[in-house]
Amino acid sequence: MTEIFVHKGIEVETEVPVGSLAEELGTTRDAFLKRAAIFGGSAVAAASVGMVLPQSAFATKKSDLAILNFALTLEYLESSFYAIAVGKGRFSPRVEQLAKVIRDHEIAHVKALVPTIKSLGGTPVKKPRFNFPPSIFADETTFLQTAMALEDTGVGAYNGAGPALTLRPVKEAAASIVAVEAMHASWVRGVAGTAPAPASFDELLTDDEVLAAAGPFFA
Amino acid sequence: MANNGALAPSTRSGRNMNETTVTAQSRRGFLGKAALLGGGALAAGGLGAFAEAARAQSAPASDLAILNFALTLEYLEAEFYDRARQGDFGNLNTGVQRFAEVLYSHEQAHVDTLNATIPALGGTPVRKPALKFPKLTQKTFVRTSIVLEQTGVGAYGGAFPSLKLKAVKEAALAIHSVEARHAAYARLVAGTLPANVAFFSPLTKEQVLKRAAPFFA
Repeated sequence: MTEIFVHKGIEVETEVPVGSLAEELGTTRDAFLKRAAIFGGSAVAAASVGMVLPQSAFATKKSDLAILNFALTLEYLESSFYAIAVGKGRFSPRVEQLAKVIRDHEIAHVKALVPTIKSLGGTPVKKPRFNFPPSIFADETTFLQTAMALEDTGVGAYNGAGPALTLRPVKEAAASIVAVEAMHASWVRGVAGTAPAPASFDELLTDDEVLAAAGPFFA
Repeated sequence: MANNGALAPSTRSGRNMNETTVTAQSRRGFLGKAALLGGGALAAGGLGAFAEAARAQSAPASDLAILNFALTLEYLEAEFYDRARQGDFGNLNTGVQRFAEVLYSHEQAHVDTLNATIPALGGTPVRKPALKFPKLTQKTFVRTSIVLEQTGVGAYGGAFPSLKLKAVKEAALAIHSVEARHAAYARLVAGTLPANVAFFSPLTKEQVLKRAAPFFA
């Protein structure tokens, strides 16, 4: 059995020390780029490094930038949500771990999107003001249900925007993020005791559908 | 689940596979997210539109090659879970048995969808490859599942930027994130951190082949 894993050389190490995870992930741009390089994900790195784009890319850059800013808004929402949850410090170790790890991922997404937008000549949206009702952090069940809605919405948002992306590095970055959002959704669902993967195909949401779901959290 | 020649039915059978979905959706409605669920975004906007496009135009050869590559991987995954759920890898506890059943239904739905889509786009679907699996136990089955699912995520993620046809991109994305959910589900079942990186690195075709090679007879 061992030979399969060795042969294929894919990581299946199960013991990830959570304490070191946040550091390992890195929440700074430099750490992100370093990680991207470790991945061999030159594409992800390129997307945020400020690659030189041909002039012909100008028109398509605009739509990609709008999508990236939309994504950035959602990542701000998610990272703020989990940061508050962690700050409350009232959950079981299992849920606390989930909140911390996902918070770090969402922060890493924010820290990656901001320089990416700048490198494409755009202006990153400012962090919006959010309005989270205290009740959603009052108990684990409500927190997890809210997290589930946010993560499923994040997956649908990236999926819905994906086909309109034009620049290869942006497509690559989006794919590398949506996969993680889907992993979060699955994780939250599993911990909440519901089906981690509830359908054979995920939804592709329109901007309006995303806003309808996330709108209540904007102040 | 026979090849039904249509996209939506496969989707529905996948949905119905898990009864907890209804509960999840109800809760989501409770949270005021009902708008999200209206009209089953997938059937309406995703694969329904995909089927339309499939009838309306033929895909570039490169898209067809990617779809056939994906179909090969889906055949591998579907048979893997089919064997697991039928007991080839020994007795599975209730949770792992459910995991195998759910993933089998999803992967088979992907097979059915791709099999129906490739000819609709003017291509010829690859035949199901001859497969071989090592002797596995419940524990090693789940660990192998992690490898396969992560390979699937990397494969779709790596191929997506090369896709040309909008409808094919939509289908690939709708499947890609489900493979990612599977990967996290498998990790959860294995008792390891379900999401251990902030960015999931895409794989090249060569990297995918290298990982999947041991399973081809």
